[in-house]
Amino acid sequence: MHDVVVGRIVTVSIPGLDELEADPEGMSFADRAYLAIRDKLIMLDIRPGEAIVESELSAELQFGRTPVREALKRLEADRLVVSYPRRGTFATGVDVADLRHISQIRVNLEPVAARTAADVASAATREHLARLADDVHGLDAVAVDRTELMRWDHKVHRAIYRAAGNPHLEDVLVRYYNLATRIYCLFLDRLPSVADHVEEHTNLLRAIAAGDADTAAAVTLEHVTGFEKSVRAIV
Amino acid sequence: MTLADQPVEVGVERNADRAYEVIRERLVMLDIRPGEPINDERLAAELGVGRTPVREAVKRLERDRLVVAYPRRGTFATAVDLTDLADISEIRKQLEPTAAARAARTASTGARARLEALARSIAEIDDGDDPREVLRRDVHVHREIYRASGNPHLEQILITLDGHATRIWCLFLDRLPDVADHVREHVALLQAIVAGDETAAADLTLAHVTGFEAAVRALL
Repeated sequence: MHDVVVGRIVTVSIPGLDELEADPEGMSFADRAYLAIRDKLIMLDIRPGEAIVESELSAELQFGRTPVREALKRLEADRLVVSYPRRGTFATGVDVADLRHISQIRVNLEPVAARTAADVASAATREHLARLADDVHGLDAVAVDRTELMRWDHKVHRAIYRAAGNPHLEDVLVRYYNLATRIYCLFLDRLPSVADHVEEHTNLLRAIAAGDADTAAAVTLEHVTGFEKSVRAIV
Repeated sequence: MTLADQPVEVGVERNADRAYEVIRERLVMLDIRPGEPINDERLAAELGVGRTPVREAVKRLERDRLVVAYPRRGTFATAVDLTDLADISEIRKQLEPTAAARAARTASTGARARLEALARSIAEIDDGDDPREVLRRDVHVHREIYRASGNPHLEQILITLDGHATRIWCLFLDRLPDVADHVREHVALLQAIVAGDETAAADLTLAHVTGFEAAVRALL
């Protein structure tokens, strides 16, 4: 009964959520609660280490307790929250001193994901990534607020991790993307334009869609390194 | 001393840590078989701890993908999925050499002394030794290197991945002819780290990870 696919279900995030994001009408309450709470955690509206009270969140976001609970379970797989039996659920910590360690992992693995995606992605995935590139390119950076930009950044990264087709790699990268982005958000007011950072994705997505693995890896390395440099310049 | 001998009143957190380590080792070494149900209550009784720490440990194991919980059906040890081998190797080929090189560059004097002692003890592994025992020592060497890398995040990722790789080893233990050889390869690696030779440490590690993948593939 417990065949070989069993291990794959656990932490792979929500299939199709990226598509759903474009169509909020088609999202379940749990999907919407997940996105709303994820934004709060990544943008640090919920502070690192803060206790998360289901009933308060559900009142604040106007969702029932069940979708909030389901959302929190997904966020736990993303390592954005952690729950302890009998003690409750908390936003995971963010330690700026970890930036160096986190970057070391991302510098190694992000280019691998981009390269693999360029090598193995299906025709449908390539089409999806190319469309995403056009969407990001078409963003009016002045009109779009920071939360919205971070959402796009998130969407692009996750689409690439998914396209690489390695659930273990995806799992690690989602986790460290979340950590890195929260550190970024600690300094958001003082960092140079977020819009430029997001715009860099256009070339990356197009390289992957075109199957240009070398360019995809090189652009990614530059993107991750540049990110760390800009944060370090401030810390 | 086994877990059951430990005093119970040391707090849920510490008990959860210990329960995690013990259950994890059983899952990694396949003492709990893939697909086998995980029974909180029985584990708690066996380990002499409460159910709360066991539940917490099991949740952590779920994050490691060593167990999977289905609503209303229960929690089970995950299958050892051979399609995972390529995926896990893809990550390890990047991170294992990075960890070894970093250890060579930054390990403290104390860590180097520990690694040197480990090299001496690994060199004495005999072809006739119990392969499961040999494998445990392999896990130990890996862990010491991860720790010596001084990057706790890297250490954690690699421990998780090494756990999955070890499960695959265990599955093929009867058919893999040269486990002792494979583990003795670590002598040169440990010596390179101790000597501070980053390049050699990275190269030997890459060869080791690639060799493991090839050895398993040869059996498929």
